[in-house]
Amino acid sequence: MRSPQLRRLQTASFSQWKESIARSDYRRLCITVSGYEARARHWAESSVGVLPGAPATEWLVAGFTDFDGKLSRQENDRFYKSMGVGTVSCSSRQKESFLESVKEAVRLAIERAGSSSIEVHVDYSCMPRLWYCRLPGLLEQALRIEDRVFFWYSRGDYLNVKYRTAGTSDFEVFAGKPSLSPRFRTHLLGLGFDRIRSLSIWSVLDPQQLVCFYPDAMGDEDYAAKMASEYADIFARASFTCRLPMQFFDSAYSQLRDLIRDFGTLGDVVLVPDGPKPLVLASSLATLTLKTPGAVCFHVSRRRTREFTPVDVRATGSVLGFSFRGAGGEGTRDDPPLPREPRGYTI
Amino acid sequence: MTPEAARLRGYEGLNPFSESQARNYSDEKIVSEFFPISLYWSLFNDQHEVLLGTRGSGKTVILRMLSYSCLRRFSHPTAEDLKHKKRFIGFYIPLHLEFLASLEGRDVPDEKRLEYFQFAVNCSAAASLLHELKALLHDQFPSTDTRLGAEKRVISYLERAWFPEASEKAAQLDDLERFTNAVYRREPFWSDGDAHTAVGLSGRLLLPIVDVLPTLSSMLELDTDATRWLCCLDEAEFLTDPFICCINEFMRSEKRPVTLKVATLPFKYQTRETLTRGVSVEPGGNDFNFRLVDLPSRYKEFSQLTDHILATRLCRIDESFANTTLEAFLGRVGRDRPIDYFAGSATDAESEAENRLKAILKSLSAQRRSHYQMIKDDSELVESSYLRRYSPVYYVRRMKELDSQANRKVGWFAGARTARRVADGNPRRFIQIAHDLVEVARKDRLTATRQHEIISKFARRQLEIAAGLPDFGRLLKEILESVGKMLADRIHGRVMLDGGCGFSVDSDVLDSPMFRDALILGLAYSYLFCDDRSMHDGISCSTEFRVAYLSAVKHWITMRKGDPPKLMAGRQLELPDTQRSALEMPVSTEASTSLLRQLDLFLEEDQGA
Repeated sequence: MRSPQLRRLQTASFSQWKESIARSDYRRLCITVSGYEARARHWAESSVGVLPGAPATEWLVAGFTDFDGKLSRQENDRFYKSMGVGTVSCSSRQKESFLESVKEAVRLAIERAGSSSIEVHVDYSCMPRLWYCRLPGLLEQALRIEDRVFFWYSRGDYLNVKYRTAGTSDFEVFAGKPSLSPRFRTHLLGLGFDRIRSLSIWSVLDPQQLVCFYPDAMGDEDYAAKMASEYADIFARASFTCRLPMQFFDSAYSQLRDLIRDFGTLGDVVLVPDGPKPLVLASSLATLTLKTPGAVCFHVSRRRTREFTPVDVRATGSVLGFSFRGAGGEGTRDDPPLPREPRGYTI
Repeated sequence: MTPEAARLRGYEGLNPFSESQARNYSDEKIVSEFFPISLYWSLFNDQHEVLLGTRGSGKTVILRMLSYSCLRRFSHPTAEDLKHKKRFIGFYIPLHLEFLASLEGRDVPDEKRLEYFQFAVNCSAAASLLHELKALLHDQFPSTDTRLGAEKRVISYLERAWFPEASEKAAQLDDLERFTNAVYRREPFWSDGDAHTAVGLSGRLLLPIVDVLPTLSSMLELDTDATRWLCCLDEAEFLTDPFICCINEFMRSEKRPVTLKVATLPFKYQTRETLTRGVSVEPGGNDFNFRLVDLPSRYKEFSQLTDHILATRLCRIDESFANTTLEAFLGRVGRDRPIDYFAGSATDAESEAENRLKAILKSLSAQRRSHYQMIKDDSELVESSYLRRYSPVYYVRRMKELDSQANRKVGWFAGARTARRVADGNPRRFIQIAHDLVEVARKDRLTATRQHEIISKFARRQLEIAAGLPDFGRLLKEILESVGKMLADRIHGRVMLDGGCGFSVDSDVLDSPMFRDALILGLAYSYLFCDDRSMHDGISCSTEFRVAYLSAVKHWITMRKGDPPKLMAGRQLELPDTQRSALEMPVSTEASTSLLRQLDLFLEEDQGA
């Protein structure tokens, strides 16, 4: 896997970006999904009115084969159809085929743009973790230095959504490798919306030094109250708790990198983000880009079993984003394999 | 006398009980807090052993204290002797979740990742051994000159054995540790049978270690025949069966001079298979032994252990706590017996034996009352069959009654004995209780009533947390709630029964794999307890269970076994909902309630009621 560099990473304002569309002549590729959540079309609905039509704007919409036809799915499909955009069928478990489709769409977009710059917009509000955490690296590699990538997230109303607890088999390392004999270990736990699930993650990890992070309330009083009451016992056990500004992705990302660096001086740092997607993405990218020895990022999967009941998460209206530049194939590769020739071992 | 907790009034610093996970404690901290229970000393032997212990029972502390670097710091006559003779040199290898989850090749079945797994453990073992070698060199060669010479020889030898391809020369042991980490980090995953470059540290489990130990022993001037190297593998609960087979293979073939000490959660070391088809390992001293780490809370060792932890941690606040005991810290009501706490909350008259007997008789069944009439002149029999047997039930019934009255609070779940019982022999649970006690002692007096409040709140919170345990957490919570209520109904029903926390489970109920697995989860995390035999051999309808004393606090149950009723199913299970093949993980609340509804659980009353 390539480690992204995230050149000129900055928080993007959705409203400012929309205002700027009329003043620019970029070709754009918009990558979204159509699933059972109404939120899946929110970004597209909010943007389509100001975006120029084809061929200046192209769309790649992955239609999940899982829970096909459930809840808002048909409405989402109808919406994209009304824009003249079809959906590419894809199972949420088929990471590779989706990523291949993206690569191909980007290649074609660059080819059509010629010497002009392009913008790629990814609405990751309803994407599975393994898709959206891989996309920054992939897009950075595929795009030229003059091209830009935007990631957009439509906030959803999660307060009444209940998830299942996690088991040990749900833990997967997304990035990094722990030390063999760490002097010390700090677990950075990103709190989600389900207390029981967070407790479950906590009980599996059994951390000695726990650092919790969760998103700023952004004026949402219900959310702030829920966090304070639901997580009181976890907060009491944490050595340190911090709120990250989800609306300022670059700042959240940078703070997470600082946490990894700071606690990395003590020993291994294990990130377990389980909060909203922007913080999961920021944690995953921070671990990938820093490549600090002993820094590990876990993903705790949510198993979609037969008993899984899809929830139609509605968008609250606020859209958060960030952007960065392409690297034109200048990214670095993680963990080069051992050379076959005799050589020294250095870190 | 004023409880020593009063000295914490106004203390605003860090709660010394805020840490309860020993895995990453420094050697110094581990040693300073360590209290050697008899099990610990008995682990210095030649036998491969699998230590079964619930979460927080102290497995990690014990294994880390087996390592030479910790043992040498421990000031104790037996430790001095072991240190002097150096017949056992321990080294500690954590197999934590991060280590195992980060093993590459997750797309490949574990059966095909055995070579890579063994390579990873070998790397970890090498790093751990190198850490111990520093301490050994220091102790074996006090003179700097001779030590440097010996160290040079050791480095040169290990470099050749483990890093034959290294171009950089190692100058110190730290360099070898760095090499080990680099090899581990850089070696790409290979499936069994594929080519790889990790020459020195690949091969069968611990083989690169076993191979170098005789020469190392000789270089360190140890007795090469007598010295045993204790390889302490911690957190083996995260290992899947194919990986456990690698350990079994090692134990079966007994690779002297290494002796394995493997720590895991109960019921997590199930397979007896080895890597050799048709060859399996046998416990019971043949290939290895199971050892139980958990201490019953009534054992003197648990009192000593808890006093030691308490004093050591409180010393971080004030060294004058050095000799404190839990009794001195909390203060004693009377002689710290249940009757003393009962008397503290009830009227004097209610506490008197004669009145207690009257109250007990009033609540017993007609059968019991008529039996009393027959033996009433035999004071000893009355004492044993009525007063001693039923007083604990009477106390808790009355205490609950009083506590439910408006503006009335009792101080029943209080005192050192109760605090230790609620900890249920689990040092980590004790540390958590001590944390809560210290938090209150900062600003308030730890009266019996206050202690009761703290312990009740702790119990409720811990039981709620059970829902967050992996996979079957929510079902376990429902079971604990349901069984707790049923056991409490026996105590607080119209007719007084000899109730307690004990129960057995009917085979029909155990036929539900979900239910069985939830019980096992409860046993692994000290929410349930069972007899030692079942901990080794697995649970069955003859297993004697009891709920943790956390449940006893929440539901006002007497903290004793009592006449254990049997948990029965009122209905046949509706297949396939509860069949393992149809089981979806983790179990949801809906599935848990549905299962309990299907089972329609009830307790079969004991015949003596």
